[in-house]
Amino acid sequence: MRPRSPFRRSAAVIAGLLVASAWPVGAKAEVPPEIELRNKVDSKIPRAWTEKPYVVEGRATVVSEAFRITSLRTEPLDAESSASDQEIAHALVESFRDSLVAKRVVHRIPGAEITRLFDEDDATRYIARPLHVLIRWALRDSGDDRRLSVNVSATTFDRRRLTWDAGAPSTDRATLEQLADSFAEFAKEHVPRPARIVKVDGEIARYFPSRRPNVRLILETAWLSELEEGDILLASIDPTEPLDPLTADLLAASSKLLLRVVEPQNELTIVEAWPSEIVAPGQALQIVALYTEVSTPHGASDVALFESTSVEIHALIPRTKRSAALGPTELFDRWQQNASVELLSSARSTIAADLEMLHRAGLRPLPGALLEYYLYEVRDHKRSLRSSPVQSIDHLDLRRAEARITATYRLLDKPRGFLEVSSIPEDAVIRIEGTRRGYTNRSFVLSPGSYTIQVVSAASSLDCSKTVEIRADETTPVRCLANSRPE
Amino acid sequence: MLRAVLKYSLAAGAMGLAVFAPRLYLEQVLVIEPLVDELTTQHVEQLSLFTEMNQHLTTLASLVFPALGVLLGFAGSPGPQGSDRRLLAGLSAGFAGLSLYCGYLAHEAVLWMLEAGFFRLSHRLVQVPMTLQFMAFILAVFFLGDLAIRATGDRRPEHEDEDR
Repeated sequence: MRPRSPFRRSAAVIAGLLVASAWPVGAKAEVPPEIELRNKVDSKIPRAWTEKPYVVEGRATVVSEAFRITSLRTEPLDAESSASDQEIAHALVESFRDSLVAKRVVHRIPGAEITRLFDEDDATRYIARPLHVLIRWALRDSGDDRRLSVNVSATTFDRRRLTWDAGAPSTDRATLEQLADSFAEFAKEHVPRPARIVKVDGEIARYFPSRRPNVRLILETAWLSELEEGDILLASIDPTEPLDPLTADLLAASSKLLLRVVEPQNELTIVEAWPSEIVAPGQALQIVALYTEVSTPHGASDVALFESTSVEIHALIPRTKRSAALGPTELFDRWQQNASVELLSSARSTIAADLEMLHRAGLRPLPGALLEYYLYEVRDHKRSLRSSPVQSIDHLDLRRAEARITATYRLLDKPRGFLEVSSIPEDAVIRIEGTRRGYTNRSFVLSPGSYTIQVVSAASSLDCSKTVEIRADETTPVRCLANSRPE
Repeated sequence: MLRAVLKYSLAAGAMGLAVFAPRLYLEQVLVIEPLVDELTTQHVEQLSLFTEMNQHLTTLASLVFPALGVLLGFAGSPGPQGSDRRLLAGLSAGFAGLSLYCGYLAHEAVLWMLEAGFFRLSHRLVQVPMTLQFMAFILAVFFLGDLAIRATGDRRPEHEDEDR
């Protein structure tokens, strides 16, 4: 009798195994197809406007209903004017107390004050953003009766523009009431309260212009324990190292955070930053920008706000509750004791933030042993760069050692760069290498190389084409304005 | 002797090629993807499913090795077909290893993708190692099955002879 071919049974076994092995995979393969979502950055691209300055002008920021007059610039009204800046400022504050806006917003805020006076040579530009109010005052000289004129502008999330001019007697009172009510509702809805303004001194422990047009500033966290829920953070920030031009540009393009950036000899210094988000202990803090100004040795900044892309500045505070769940604090302490090396708070918060990112990405917590091993690697790397024993590890040590560590343990480490494509007006089609890739404004991740970018919009006669070179870890902007060439 | 060395050299070369080719390919893959600020619920769900599938395949591919050990032991002393069995076992083990390796590559690709700031599991960067992982696993199972059939087929006549 001829023996049966083993392949007949083999085929049956394989078929069975195939079905068994393919079952869970097949089931998962039927999940809804990938949904391509428009980048959230798109909605954050500011739509700004500029207005002609008055003789006397100032800026104000609504920070959780805190009304802070942050700047004031005056020019001599006439030779006979004897009012000083402080007198005018005082008059302004007083005028707000009695105004319609003051009843809605200002009077709830103790300590509204002018905190900064502009130099006359300072250039000013304005952006109005959600939650932010641009206020200007006109001190009009009408004979002997000099009176204050107040003009309030605000932008709501649906891009409505609210304007109130208290200095215009012809303005319909009912309309003003309506606008003020609308603004008050808007503020009530979107502005957290109550708030305590905490002024702290921090420093930028690290910044990196990565992941979309985003400058992330990690603040030293020594003072964070003093914060309470609901506090507003008012930080004075000094960078520990010069900002590169790209970062400076991004900061300058920032539209949310009130920043003043001074650039003596290409070294930028952030003087002031006003966050406008509520801060809770153990939560990530997002400091957002209202206004950015770059003063160059030549005076005015040429940073056009309408060309800007949204920049968010984050100060990450370790999430204490989640960190406790992950257990890094205990690991840090244990490692610190075993290695006799101090793990500074900046390094702790950096690692905690990275762990948090893993956690949020749905990945399992890093095993403690691996974390300790990583810390030993960082210590050894630092030791190899110096002759004396390592006393402490900070966030910069982590970053310096990171490249070496990841290079050792990563099989796949492709270089990548970033591309920002923006246009005015928005919603223009983006084509990269001839392939449609969505609508402006949008950011992309690309392999380094040369690409042809097209921004086309039939509705607004927008047609730009540009070849850009994407470099690793760098962000390349492509901005296209109607009836102009791309930058 | 020379023939055996040649055979093993060829096998090692093929395995080396199978290991390095996917990685070299992935290094060359072009990326043009929109930046994703935060993972959405759908993204997280996709990531979870991907991780689950990767774990399943990794577990199944790992099980090929003990199965090979059992089958080789079950087959007893190598007879005239011992060389074929070794070849089948070697192929099965090789593809199982390749499956594990490709699973690791896919995992690395997803990690890199998250770090780079975009998310698309259907990107070639992830799809190619995922497909290779699955196909290598299928081939490993195929050769394992063939070995199993042969091993049981070789045994049965002996039992039948004893019964007679």
